[in-house]
Amino acid sequence: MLNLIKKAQNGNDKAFLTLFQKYEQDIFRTAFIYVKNQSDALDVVQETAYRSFKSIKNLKEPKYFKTWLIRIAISCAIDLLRKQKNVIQMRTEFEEFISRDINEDIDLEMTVRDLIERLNEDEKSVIILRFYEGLTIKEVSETLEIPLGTAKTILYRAIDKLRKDLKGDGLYEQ
Amino acid sequence: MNNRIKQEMYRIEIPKELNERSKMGVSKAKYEMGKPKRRWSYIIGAVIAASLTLSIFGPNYFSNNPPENPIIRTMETNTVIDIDDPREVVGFSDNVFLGKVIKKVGSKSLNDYPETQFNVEVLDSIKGELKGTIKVNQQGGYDGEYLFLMENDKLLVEGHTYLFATRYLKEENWHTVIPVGGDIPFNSDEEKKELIEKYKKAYDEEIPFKLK
Repeated sequence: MLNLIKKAQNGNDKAFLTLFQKYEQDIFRTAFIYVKNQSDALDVVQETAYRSFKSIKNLKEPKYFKTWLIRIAISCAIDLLRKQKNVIQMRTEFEEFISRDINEDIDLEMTVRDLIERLNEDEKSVIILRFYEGLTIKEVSETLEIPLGTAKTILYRAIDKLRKDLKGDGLYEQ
Repeated sequence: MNNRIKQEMYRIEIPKELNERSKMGVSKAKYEMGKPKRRWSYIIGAVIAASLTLSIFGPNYFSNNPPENPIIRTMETNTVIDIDDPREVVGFSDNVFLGKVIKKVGSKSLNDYPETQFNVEVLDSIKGELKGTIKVNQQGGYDGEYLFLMENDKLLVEGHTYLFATRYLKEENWHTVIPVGGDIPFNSDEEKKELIEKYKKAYDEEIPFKLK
């Protein structure tokens, strides 16, 4: 793997493609959560392949290759949404310290549709990196270049939102 | 939670063209990147190898004349466009023009295979506004006894006339020919007229290159 990354950094496209294709499904799924349709998600994958190969020379820590790819995919997806003017920037630049531990073990009856429709862009990023990619919340904050406190706030808000929205649904059905 | 998110995300169906789209992204980047900058160690290595070869084969080994019967090596590339469709070729090009190859002027390579540069006199411009004599770069060329050809695209011939479709590379101030569909020879005024008509029409209906 390290060898392939080195080759890719020296401009070897075959080596890069081998690496990229290991993760293309994860990239596609991540993109799908943002752009909500197959065609745009494929565009995001292609753009991610393009941007990542062009900038792989700048990847300093090969062990974070996958996280680095996912981060690029998230940017590509958000750029595409912006282009389509579908997105309203929801980022709130605040840092709120949460002293209590976040209870992540809530058994949510959520579906992929909930993920797609109920969360804003920032919440999707945090949820995907934390739970799909399995990063720690500290790694999530570093990957997204946001303060740890903000990452925690967003994570908690996202979990809360999923839970509340689902409860809402439940009440509605009654 | 962890498993639940994963489980749900795995339900997103993977389309079969996914693999192809990854390739297209990488190909486009590769096309634009050219060759990574050489390191000094590589250059020194090459110089040492060259001087060793020189001492073994003697100075006569090197000559400007290409070998009479070169061994042809065909290079294949993942082209990002259909090089047989003039509308895509024109859309992908910065310039489309008719030109006459004056002479070979260099064999600088930005890739892992030989490339050859020619001075070309612009006769007529179809797309872009090129005039006078310009430098055209063709992917392919001689390397020792081998002749490398991109997609079997024949090497340009001095004195011959072609329709060119090219992409400009600012760093080298040359115009790189799109293989096959971007260097079409013509031998008579009639053929020239036909090509102009065909490519003006293709320009009107060009398919601009985009990541789609």
